[in-house]
Amino acid sequence: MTAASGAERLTEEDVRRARAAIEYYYEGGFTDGLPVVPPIEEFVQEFLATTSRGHDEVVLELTHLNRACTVRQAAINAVMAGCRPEYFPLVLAALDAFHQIGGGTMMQSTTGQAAAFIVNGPIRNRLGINCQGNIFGPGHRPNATIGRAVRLIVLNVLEIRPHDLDQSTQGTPAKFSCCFGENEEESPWEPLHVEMGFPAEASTVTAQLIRSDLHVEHRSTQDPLHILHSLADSLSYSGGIYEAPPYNRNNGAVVVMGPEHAQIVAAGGWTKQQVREFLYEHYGRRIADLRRFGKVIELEDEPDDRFVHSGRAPEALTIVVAGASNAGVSTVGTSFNSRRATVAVETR
Amino acid sequence: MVLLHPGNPTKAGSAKLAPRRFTKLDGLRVGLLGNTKLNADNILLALGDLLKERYAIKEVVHYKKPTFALPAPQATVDEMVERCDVVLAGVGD
Repeated sequence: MTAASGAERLTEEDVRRARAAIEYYYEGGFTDGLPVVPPIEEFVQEFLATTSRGHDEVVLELTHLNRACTVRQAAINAVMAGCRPEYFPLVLAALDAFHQIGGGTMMQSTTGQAAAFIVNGPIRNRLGINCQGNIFGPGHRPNATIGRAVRLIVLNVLEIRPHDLDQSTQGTPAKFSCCFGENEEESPWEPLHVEMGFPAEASTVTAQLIRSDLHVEHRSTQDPLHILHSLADSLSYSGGIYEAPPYNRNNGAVVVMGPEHAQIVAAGGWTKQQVREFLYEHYGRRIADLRRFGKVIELEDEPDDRFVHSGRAPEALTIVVAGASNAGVSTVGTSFNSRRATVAVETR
Repeated sequence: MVLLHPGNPTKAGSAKLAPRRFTKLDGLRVGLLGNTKLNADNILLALGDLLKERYAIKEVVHYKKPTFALPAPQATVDEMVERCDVVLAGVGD
C-alpha cells in the first residue's frame, strides 16, 4: 500500500514518538476513549485557513458552566478528531446548529442522548459524506470525524465528562459520532434543507437530539400503510417514554427512511407532509399500555382506549431519506427535547 | 511543548465553595429550591418538614426554577441570598 502521506519514509522512532504524543492526550483525559490526532499549531492553522470567522469568535457558550468554545478551540479539537481541514466549515456549522438546539446543556442529562447531524447539499459529495449503506456505522472518515469533533469539544472545552457533568445513566454509541448525509439522489421527496427553506444548491447541516438509533425492519410487504405503521409503532416503544409530564408528550424524533421504504410510500401517493402527519397521529400509546408500563401520571382516571400522543406536534418529526437500497430498513430516534436547527455551511 | 491544549488551560476550578458560615441549623432560615422534576417539590417540602421537626429552624421558604435545564433566574437567586441563610437544592431526576 503506497501512502500519499509519505508514510513509507517513517522510521520506527518516528512512530514511537507519534505514539507518545497520542498517549499524552490519553493521560490528560482529552479523548473519547479512542486515540486522537495530536494537534500542533501547523495543523490548526490549516483548519483556521478554511474559514473567514474570527479565531476568537465564540461558537458555543454555556453561561451556567462559565465555559465557551472559540473557533480556534474548535479547530484544535477537529484536528484531534481526525477531520481533514476542508471539513472544518461544516464542523463550525454543526456547532452553530448544536448551539441553537441547546445541545451543550442537553449533554449533561441522565438521558445520555446524542446529537444527530444531517448533512444536505453538494458538500456531501465534495467531502465524501456517506449517505448510503451503513450511515450509522463506522467506516467513513467525514461521518466519523465531524460528529466526533463536536463530542471532543463537549468533553474538552465544555468539560462535560461522564460521571461528572455528564450524568448519562447509560448513554449511546451515537455519542461517539452521529453524522450522515441525506440520500437526496434516491429520495422521492424534497430534501430536508429545501423543506427548511434553503435553496437546493446550498450545503447545510441540521442538528437534532436522539436517545438512540432504533432499527426498524420491514421487508415483508410493499403496502405503504404497513411501512408507516411499523415506523409509528417503532417510535412509540415504551422505553422512549420519559414519564414526567409534560416531557412525555413533547417529544421530537428523527425518522430516517431507507430509500426503498420512502419510494414505496411515495409511489402509494403519500407526500412527506402526509407521512409526517400520519406518524404524529400514531406516535403514542393507549392508556391500557401506559398502565402496563406504569406510566400514567396525571392520566390515572382516563379510559383504557384513550390514545396519548408522544410527539409535541407533527413538525417535531424530522423526516429524511438515507441508507442503502438493499433491504427494507429504516431508523428512528426520539428525544424529549424536540428542537431542531438547520445552518448553512460557510462558502468562500 | 508543541502539543496544544484542547480545552481551557488557564481556567482553574470553575466554582469555589462559599464559606460555611454556620455549624448549627437552629435559628436559620432555610430555602428549598425545586427544579421542576417530578416529585422534586414533594421531596424538598418533606425534607423541610423534617428539618423543622428536628431543629429550631426559623422558617422554610420554597422556591422553584422555571425549568431544570437552566440556572435559577438571577432575581430568584438574589431573593434567596436576601431571605435565606442556607438553601437545599434539588438536582437531577
